Amino acid sequence: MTPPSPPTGHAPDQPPEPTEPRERWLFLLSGGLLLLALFVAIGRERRWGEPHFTVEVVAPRADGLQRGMEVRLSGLPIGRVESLELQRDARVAVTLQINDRYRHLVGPRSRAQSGMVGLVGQTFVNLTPDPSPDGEGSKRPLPTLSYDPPPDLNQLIADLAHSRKELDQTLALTTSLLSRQVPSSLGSLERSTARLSTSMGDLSSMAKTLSSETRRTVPSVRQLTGSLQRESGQLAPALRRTLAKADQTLRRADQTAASATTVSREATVLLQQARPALIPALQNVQEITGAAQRLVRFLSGLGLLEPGTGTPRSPRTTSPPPPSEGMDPYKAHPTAPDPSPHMP
Amino acid sequence: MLLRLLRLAERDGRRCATLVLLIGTVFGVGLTRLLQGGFNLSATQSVQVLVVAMLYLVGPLVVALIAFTRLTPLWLRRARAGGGEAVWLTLGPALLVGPFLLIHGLMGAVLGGVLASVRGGVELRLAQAMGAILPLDLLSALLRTALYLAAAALLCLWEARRLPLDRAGAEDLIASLIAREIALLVGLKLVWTLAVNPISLPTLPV
Repeated sequence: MTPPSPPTGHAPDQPPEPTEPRERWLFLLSGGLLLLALFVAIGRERRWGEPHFTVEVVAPRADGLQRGMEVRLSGLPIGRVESLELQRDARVAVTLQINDRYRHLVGPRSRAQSGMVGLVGQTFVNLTPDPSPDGEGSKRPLPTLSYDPPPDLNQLIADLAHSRKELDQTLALTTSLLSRQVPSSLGSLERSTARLSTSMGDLSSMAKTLSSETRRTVPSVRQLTGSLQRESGQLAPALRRTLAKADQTLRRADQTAASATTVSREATVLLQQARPALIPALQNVQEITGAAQRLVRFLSGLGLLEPGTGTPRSPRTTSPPPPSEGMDPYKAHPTAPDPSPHMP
Repeated sequence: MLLRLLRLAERDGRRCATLVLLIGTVFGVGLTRLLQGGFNLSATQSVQVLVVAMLYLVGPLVVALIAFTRLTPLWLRRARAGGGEAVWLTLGPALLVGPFLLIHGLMGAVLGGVLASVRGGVELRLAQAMGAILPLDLLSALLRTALYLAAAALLCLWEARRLPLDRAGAEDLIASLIAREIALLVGLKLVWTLAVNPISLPTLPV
């Protein structure tokens, strides 16, 4: 151990000042290093040495603002509040110091707002972004931005009290309404439930009856269905045959009708051809018949005829025969040719 | 002369540094545990409060008190034995030792508070603590500490010249000097608080 070095100039009756020669500069060196580290850390936190630009903000009041407060954009720190100054118009001029790297994100349309991390977290100034389209910020100074102060707590409490009052009134009305309406509604609901229960019971019994009837009916229906299937199986061939025969008969009838039509046309043609010759013949026959009648009458008058045959005819009987007998153009004349086999 | 002053400051600081570091660390741990456990403050808020307390409230006072108790006999001895250089031999080391002691105390408190913080990583909390320190406030606290110690050293000089040079009653003299130094410290603190730099705490979330 090194002997203590005598201090210079001390009184002879005073003990020498205690010295500690080991680690001679430990305190001052450690203190200096700590101070240096402290300033380096502070400078690092405050981004000393980085280029900055200032943004002027005008706030109606300085509530929630503090020098050194963080400035954030999109939730990330970009600067700090440099100073606060009260202006002549009682507004507060706030100077923000923003890192130059974020110059292109702050523009004339940016707004400053009061922000807070969570409900009780750190307060900060929030800048809304106004990025420049070319991605490079202009070097011209920005116009003064406006600041949205935090909501007034007193106003919030007053609004909350007002809302609470209205809510209480609504709850009171609801309570009175419930106390008046709910019992009757519950009674009606109970009655409806009872009716519904009764109806459900009836419906259940009806369903049971219907089910039993259905169970009984189903075998009969099955038997009937089987019988119908069998009968239809038997009837089907006969029906098919009958239908085929009917089809043939109809075809023949069609052929016969067609032949009759042809014959009728031929007869009509023939009659039209024979008509000019037939009419004179009929007139001759009529004349002959009249002559014969007159002859018969004459002979009757002479008594040459037998009584049975010589009875003079009444004038009515001597009347000319009905046209249907004497003048029927379609009646076959004995001299007419044989009728056509196709004549109907 | 400068080297001599530095040697004296190193000697004075080493007498006080261990105690200051220990008390600062204990204060940081205790205050952080109290804020986070008793007052349910967040880790960020507790670190901010710790920094504010160290720089504004207790840091310079505690450092000055420790220095008074440990350095008053040395200051008195230098004041009596220094002759014409007594003023520099007393005031110079006092002006140097105070800020360095405060740095030790502040770092001890911050490290203790960060290590005692129940939430968050050490690096993040340290960064938050550094961010909570305003450079001007730090310089102000360093200046105040130097002022307190210089005032106490001047008081020692004054008493040493006023009282006779005998060893009789030295213990009583030192005890009386420490009490006067504390009274002077409180007075200076009051003047500083009222006149020079009123306390303006940073905005803390409610």
